[in-house]
Amino acid sequence: MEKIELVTVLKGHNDKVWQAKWNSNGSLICSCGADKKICVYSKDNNGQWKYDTLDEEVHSRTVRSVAFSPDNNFIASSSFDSTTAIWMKNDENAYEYIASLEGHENEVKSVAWSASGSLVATCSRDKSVWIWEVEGDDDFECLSVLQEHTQDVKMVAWHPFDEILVSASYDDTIRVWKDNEDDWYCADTLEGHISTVWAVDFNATGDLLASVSDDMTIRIWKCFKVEGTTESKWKSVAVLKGYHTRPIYSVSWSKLNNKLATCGGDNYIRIFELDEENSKEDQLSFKLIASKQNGHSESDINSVMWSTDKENPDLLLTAGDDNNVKLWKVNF
Amino acid sequence: MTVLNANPVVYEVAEKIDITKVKYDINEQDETREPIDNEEVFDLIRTINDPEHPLTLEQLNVIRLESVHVEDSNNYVSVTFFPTIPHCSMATLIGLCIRVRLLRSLPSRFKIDIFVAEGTHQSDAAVNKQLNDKERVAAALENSHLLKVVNQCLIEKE
Repeated sequence: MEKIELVTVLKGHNDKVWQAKWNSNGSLICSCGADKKICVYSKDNNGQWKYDTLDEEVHSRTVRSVAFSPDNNFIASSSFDSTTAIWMKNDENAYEYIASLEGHENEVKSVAWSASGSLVATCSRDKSVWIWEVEGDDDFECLSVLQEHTQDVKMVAWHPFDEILVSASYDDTIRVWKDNEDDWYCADTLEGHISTVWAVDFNATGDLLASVSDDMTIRIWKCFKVEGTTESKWKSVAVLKGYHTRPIYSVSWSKLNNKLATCGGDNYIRIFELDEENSKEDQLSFKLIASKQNGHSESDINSVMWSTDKENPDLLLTAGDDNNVKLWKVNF
Repeated sequence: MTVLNANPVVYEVAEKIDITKVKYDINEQDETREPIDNEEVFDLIRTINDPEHPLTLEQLNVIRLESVHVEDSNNYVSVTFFPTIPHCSMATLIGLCIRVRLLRSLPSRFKIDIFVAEGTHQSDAAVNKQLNDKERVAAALENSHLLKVVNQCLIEKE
């Protein structure tokens, strides 16, 4: 039996797929791509995945990123057309366009909902990170525009339960953002990668952060409390080298089984686990436990995400330049 | 527009290979795999027009056969090009044209890197980073004005 076994291929796109995401309980999948489409996949009565396409008039360019709100009532989609669209679930369980978040000067690269669902973050090639507050169903107010990055911001990700935001950039750094009575500030800058940081993801407990880069390495950062203060600092505690031979585009840290999955331009999916025996407080060790070559034929793999379904934690979702979304079962 | 390098050195070009005789299989469904070598890749890009001069990149010595690197078995192609002047503002555009020609012509199994030759451009690292960022390239090619300029450079002249 193959360790990373294909469950199904989800069709629907007719150009590169940039991202595929689970909703918060694994019952829905949303994907987006260069064909400007957003597909929402759900299971029919026979357990087969089928898809609906959201209104194709809303985005006029590539849809780069999508995210379900924690209660699954909303989807946010960010596009190269400089806007982020908000979609709300209607009475027929379909997602309907209700609002557009406008303000970025050019391509919006990523969108993320905070754990409580009350905040949305977006980032753009215009070097800024925006934080929006959800005021009502279709009312979103910009709380803060963060401009410390010196280049294109590639991704934003929220802490699993605290209101802490992390952003990854073409300027090779990761920034950690916190708020002090609605005043957002840069609490930390993580330096170590020597090229674009494409993606970041927290572990379930939020004290570790994984980042992946154009420099072909994976870095693990750990949060240390600064004694005598309420502040904390992130330090690099592991660098995983030699596993990918092209840029790494995506990373997912399972909140259910604690495994780390990565994928990238070398057509590989890699899965790692913490090697507790060989780890110390400030130096962690990881073991490669499974690999899949050419998971999307000979195409780049742009996105990977672990299942959010507690009954099926070992499912993996990927999206690639072969126009496909794929669902995998990992056999440990 | 002011021409940046008004009197570029023009180089003699190699005999033109009949490009119609070179067949590329861009159909992903087809399992046949035709090996590609550096001469074929060079042939695809030698006729690209310079954005400023009525000359090809080969005529301006911006691209050279020896700076085309192909590892067919590893599905890898890299092209290093040489801007005519170190402050050439056209370097990113030239690199983009080379990338687009290869993206459109080579089988999709190939991974492509495009580089400005080290030391030939005052901001070579920045140009290289941009040319090899797939997201930036994808976004640039959705810009209809830029795409038009790229397509102009890719028109083959007789």
